[in-house]
Amino acid sequence: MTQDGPVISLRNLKKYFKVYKKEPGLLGSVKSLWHREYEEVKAVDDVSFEIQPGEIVGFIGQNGAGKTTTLKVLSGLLYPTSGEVSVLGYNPWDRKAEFQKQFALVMGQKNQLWWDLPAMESFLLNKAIYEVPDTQFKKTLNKLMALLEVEDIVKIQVRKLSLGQRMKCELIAALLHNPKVLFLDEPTIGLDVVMQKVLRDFIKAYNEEFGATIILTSHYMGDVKELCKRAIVIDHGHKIFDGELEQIINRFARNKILSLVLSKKVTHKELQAYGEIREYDYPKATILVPRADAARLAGKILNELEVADVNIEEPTIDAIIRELFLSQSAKRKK
Amino acid sequence: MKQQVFKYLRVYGQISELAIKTLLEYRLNAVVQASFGFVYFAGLFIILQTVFAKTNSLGGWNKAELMVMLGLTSVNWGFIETFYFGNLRRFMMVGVANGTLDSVLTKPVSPQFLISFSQPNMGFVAHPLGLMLFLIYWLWQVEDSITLSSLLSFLVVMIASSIIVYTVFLSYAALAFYLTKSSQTIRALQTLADHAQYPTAIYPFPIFIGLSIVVPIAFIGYFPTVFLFGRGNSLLLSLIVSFAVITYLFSKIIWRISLRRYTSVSS
Repeated sequence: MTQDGPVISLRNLKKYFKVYKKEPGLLGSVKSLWHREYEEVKAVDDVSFEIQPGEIVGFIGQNGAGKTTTLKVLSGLLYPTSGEVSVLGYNPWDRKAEFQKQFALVMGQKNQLWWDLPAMESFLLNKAIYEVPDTQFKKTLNKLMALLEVEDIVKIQVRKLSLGQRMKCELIAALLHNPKVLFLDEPTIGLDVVMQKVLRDFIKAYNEEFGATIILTSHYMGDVKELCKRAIVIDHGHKIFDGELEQIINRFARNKILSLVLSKKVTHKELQAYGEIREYDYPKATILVPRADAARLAGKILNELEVADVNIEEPTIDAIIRELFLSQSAKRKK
Repeated sequence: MKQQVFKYLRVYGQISELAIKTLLEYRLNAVVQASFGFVYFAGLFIILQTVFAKTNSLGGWNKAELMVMLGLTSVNWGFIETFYFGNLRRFMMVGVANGTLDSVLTKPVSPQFLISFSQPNMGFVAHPLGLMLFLIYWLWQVEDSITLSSLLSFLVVMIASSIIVYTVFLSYAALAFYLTKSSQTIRALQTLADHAQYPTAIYPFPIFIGLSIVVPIAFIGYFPTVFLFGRGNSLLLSLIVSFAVITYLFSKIIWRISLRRYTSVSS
């Protein structure tokens, strides 16, 4: 089946939770027995976006931003408070079997494998649950095992595997039915850098091989940078950016970085006249300058100071996003 | 429909296979669990022999009839414990609180099915199987012969009772969506279920109603035995069948409502 138009479509999605607040201490606990103050938490507030077939989209946000809640609504675990949601043409919370056979949700912190048995046994159970024909099962399993290089470990008890090995097996279990849509929630959490790279390469290969649409949330910007052209940034339930990852630099980076190698020592005060000093350890100095003035200030430095080398650099996406979140929380505090 | 039944049978076959393999992974555990069934059986036999050394009837039931009822109750309870009660208990303890329900809800299989039957306690199966010998022995000892019509009505009541017991326990399991410590409820049910060993009719009427409807333990052994010995009537039979339909629909509704208000847990 080919999908015309977006695979995933969200319009004005809202998901609010009611939580109650309690005063600390025993008295607070006793009081809360008959009087509870409820507060509405807007986990997702008026979020809209569309995702086209085959896209890999990075879903970026701080803890509690609403990323996982959105994924849970998209996979039918949660009912939205309001808004329209369509995944592969289905309402996810109808939880129709035809829909469930076409997507997979992988949560880095949860496991679905039988703990006391080799992962292969769980694969066979998923084969029965998803009604995967024998030939397709063998073909997909062999392909996935080869991509992840796990031929040997699938026969070992899951509880004896390392976190990275277990995550590989979790991915295989989730992908045996060839889902068209894949929701990956922190798939590389807790893994070492080598294993992170292995999983990233695998996700990329899976996307290319099966044309799957993937939404990925991760705290590691490396995951997003390596896998996603497009990013959606969410903060306190609000979407604050949706576009190509590179655009985040143009849109949110207020500064550029001037990296200098000085030939003659200058004071902090003299250097400060050109911009905000980030690092100064003679002869090397790094200063932040407003983006629009970067070229002019670089010229000025070359004229006024004795400099061996000047470089104008863009800040890293990680730094921009960190700055973006900090500025958002500063705005909220105001 | 037929395809669906086959699918669920295939899934359950696979689940059972995994449960047996898990049991065999821990050989000593398997032996202890299997022995436990026989120890329980021996203990029950000794207690009953002691009780019936002093009396020959209880609540209008003679010794052999009572033994059949006790045997049937224990066998049924053993199968309940083996196939789904442990799963429901686990679900009430951790299913909602730990968010393990998440992976169940994304599967193309009924969540109630997976919650109830996902990990049968195969080590416990020795328990009802052992007790079956006890049941067969005492059936042999019953003086009045069992007629074909009472056997048929017994089968109908057994099916209806199985539906009632399962759907009532399943409805109680839905408390996990509302209570943090819901496992205590199921523990209380289990304690009450111990009373199912005695003919429910010996209890005062309010307790009898409670044991029949609120906690459906009278359906585990008492009502089926009543019909096995031809003591039931068509009104009671139709009431039991109607109650099965009601509890089935009730559990469906309660689960639909509960799943709608499921909030999962934070990651």
